[in-house]
Amino acid sequence: MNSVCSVFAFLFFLAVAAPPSFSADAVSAEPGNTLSKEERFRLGEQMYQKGILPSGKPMKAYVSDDVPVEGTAFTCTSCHLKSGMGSIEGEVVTPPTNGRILYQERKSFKEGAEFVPYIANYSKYLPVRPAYTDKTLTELLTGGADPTGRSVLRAMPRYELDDTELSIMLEYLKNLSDKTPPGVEKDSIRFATVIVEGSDPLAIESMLAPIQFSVDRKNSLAKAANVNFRVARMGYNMLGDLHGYTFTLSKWILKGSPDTWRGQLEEYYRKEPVFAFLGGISDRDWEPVHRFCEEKRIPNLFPVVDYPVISDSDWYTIYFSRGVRQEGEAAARYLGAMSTLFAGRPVIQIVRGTKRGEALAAGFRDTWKETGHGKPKELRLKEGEKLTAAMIAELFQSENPAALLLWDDEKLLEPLLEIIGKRDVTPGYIIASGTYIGKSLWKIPDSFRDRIHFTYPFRLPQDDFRYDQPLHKIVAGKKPLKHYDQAAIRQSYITGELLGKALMEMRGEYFRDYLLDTIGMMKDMYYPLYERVSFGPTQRYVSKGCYIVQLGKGENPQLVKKSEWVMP
Amino acid sequence: MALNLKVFSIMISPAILLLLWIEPVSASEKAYKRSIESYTMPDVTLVNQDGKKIRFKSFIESDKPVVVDFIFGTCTTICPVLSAGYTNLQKKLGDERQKVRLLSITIDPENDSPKVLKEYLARYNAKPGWDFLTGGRSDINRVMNAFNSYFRDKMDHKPLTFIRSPKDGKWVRLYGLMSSSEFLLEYQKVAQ
Amino acid sequence: MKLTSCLLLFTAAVLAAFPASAAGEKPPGERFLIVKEHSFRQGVPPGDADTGHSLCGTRCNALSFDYMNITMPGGWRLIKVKENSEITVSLESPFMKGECVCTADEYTVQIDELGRPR
Repeated sequence: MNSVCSVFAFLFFLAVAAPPSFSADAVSAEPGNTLSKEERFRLGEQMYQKGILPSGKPMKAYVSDDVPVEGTAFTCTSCHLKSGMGSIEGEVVTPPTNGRILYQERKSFKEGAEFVPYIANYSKYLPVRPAYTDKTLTELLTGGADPTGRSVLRAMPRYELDDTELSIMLEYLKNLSDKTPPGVEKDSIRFATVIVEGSDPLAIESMLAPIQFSVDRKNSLAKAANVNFRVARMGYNMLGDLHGYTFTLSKWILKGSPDTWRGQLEEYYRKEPVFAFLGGISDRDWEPVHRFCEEKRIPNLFPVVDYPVISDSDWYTIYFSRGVRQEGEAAARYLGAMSTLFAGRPVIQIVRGTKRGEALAAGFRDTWKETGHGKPKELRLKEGEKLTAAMIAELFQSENPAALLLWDDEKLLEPLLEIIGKRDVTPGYIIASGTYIGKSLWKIPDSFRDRIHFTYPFRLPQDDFRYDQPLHKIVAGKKPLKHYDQAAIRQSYITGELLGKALMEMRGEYFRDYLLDTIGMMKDMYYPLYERVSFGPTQRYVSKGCYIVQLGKGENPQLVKKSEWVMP
Repeated sequence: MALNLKVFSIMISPAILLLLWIEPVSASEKAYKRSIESYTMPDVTLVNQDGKKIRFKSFIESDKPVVVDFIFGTCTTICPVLSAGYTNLQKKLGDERQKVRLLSITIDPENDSPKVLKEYLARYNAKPGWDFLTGGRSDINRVMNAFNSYFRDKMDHKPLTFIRSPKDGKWVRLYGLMSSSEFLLEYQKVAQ
Repeated sequence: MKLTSCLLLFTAAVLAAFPASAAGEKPPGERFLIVKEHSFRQGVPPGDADTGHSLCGTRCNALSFDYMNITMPGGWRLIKVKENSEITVSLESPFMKGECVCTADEYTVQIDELGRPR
């Protein structure tokens, strides 16, 4: 079959092979049907994601045939992931477990996508089987045998479930990744980017440029494929049906106070439901947008924010890092490794009473406590209050600190340098934030450079230049790269890259949870700005590192690493 | 750029390579592989689930049998099976569980702080005697290399278990997903 | 178009997608270390050996590069120029004296000419 035919075949398949519709009503004759549809869904989700039975007890599971384990340690989500679309880890492929796919026969190829390498290769490594029925699916879940009689017990547990629990579970699976989500049309996907009014215009422009570039490029491909069959064939061979999709990117501007944002988002979303939010920017809060995404189950890929919502369990927003506080956390880890040498001398934070100062201090404080060091002493400076050499001297005198954390902007330098220059008694370590102090870091005189450490949450500039090439392409024909916000444009470049990669790996299954599952399964990436970004099924802060650095010697100094990127 | 044809081609290539090499490990059709190996441990300092520093080489060169696997906190398919094996071994050994040192070493030191390690162990009802170690990436790489098991990426992860005999310091390398009885049997062969 | 032509096109696209090197922006010839092991040499007065060993791990690993960070942008290769160099650095701790001996392989960066436009 030539490619054009296969395109038609695939489109035909899409058109006629509409997924079977499963609804809660279909199982209304089952036990447990006194519960509402919503309640059954909630209970099913609880079993699937947390391994907890409707009774509140853990599901009982047997793994490797004979090892009894609690379902909470071995949830369906662990392997089939939240979307139920399955996972690939090392040599182990876990197939999809959503009803729409389970209740269809699995062949060694995906009809219509036989010539799309990444789909064809995936399909042929999963064993063929007939379509599941409620009966055979029950046998799989409780006995560990698939409809061909093949045992799956080496990798998947069998579960002890009664009839009610089984009916709730089956119903949940039938509704999992089943209905096309809002924002996905036959040949287009809608996205939005949320911009908080008042954010730095240059940062907004720099955030938008790479994402818009990605969208435009994708749309050019779709357009070219529409008029040139060779482009269409090449695009199809690489991307499957995705090559013909067009993307739209709307800009949703949030105005006024954060407590009104929710209403504004509701209104935007009512007018134009989107599949996901790309990027986004705020120089202050992001929480209302984060909460909106959690409630509406909308993925938000990489907003450019300094103060992300920190959560171990929220799902829908993926951030570049833990924000400003990550620097404080890194300082705590660095000092924690040597704290046994402090001989009772305290650790003190001088904290500027700004959002940034407080975030840095909170990051340090929380990690310091979490690693068993108690609460550090803290001295607060009001927003306009002057930090003087006398204040620092007094602290040194009275407290004799093992380490001093100075969470302030460039204003800290003058009094600090004065005091370091004069006094014999200085704390063991002085650590400040490389991002808060900003460009003034480069002005520290030679003789003081080995006295002050800085947190630096990016790849060092002398190494990052290698990654500039693709950024120049994005700004080609506009203005030179140096005239953009250097962090924001690099961050959004990562967003564009990951979006393309994720959509491609989704094999035509454009579900919101699957987008996040797909990103969760990605390998570590090496992109501009961050030394490394890494993922994981539930990981939501992709750059985990921060260097502790000093300014090197000489007239054109470089930053010198004093730690690894990630410290345990 | 991401959605540029050229770059899509780059993206696609790892996916193709990955998928070409996939052999699904499922059902009981494929047994694990066993071999005897000699390894030299690196002298690095790692950190356990309590934040305690562990001098790895001396910790491993114990007079008890030592079992090592490579897992990570947010791992999907392989780790739950391996960890359930540890849980079961501790359960089967009962009071004798202190006679063996069970070690899990993260291959995702990026994310696996002592806090993550501790929560993971709690999920698997780990009892004392089972430590989960993290560390600097370079040090973790050295440990993986020492076991001839370097994974450039955690998603290239393989199901590997190693058992060290205190008698001669030799390692049994077990490659594949074992049932708990198989794992117990392998342990007993070394422990006897 | 036959399948082989498609494959050729695909390969060409893959090759073309590797960005050309950023030659001219920074001279090549930089040296990088990949540290393989480390040890702690006690100072006077001597401190706790385990802590010293651990802190030397941090010191030595900070000298080391993750090779992926140099090779991943494309167009850059690491060429090994020296094996098992011993680099001695101060522990740089205000609380403890001593030195760290870092054993490392030394590499130089070479710009890969393959992907360069001509």
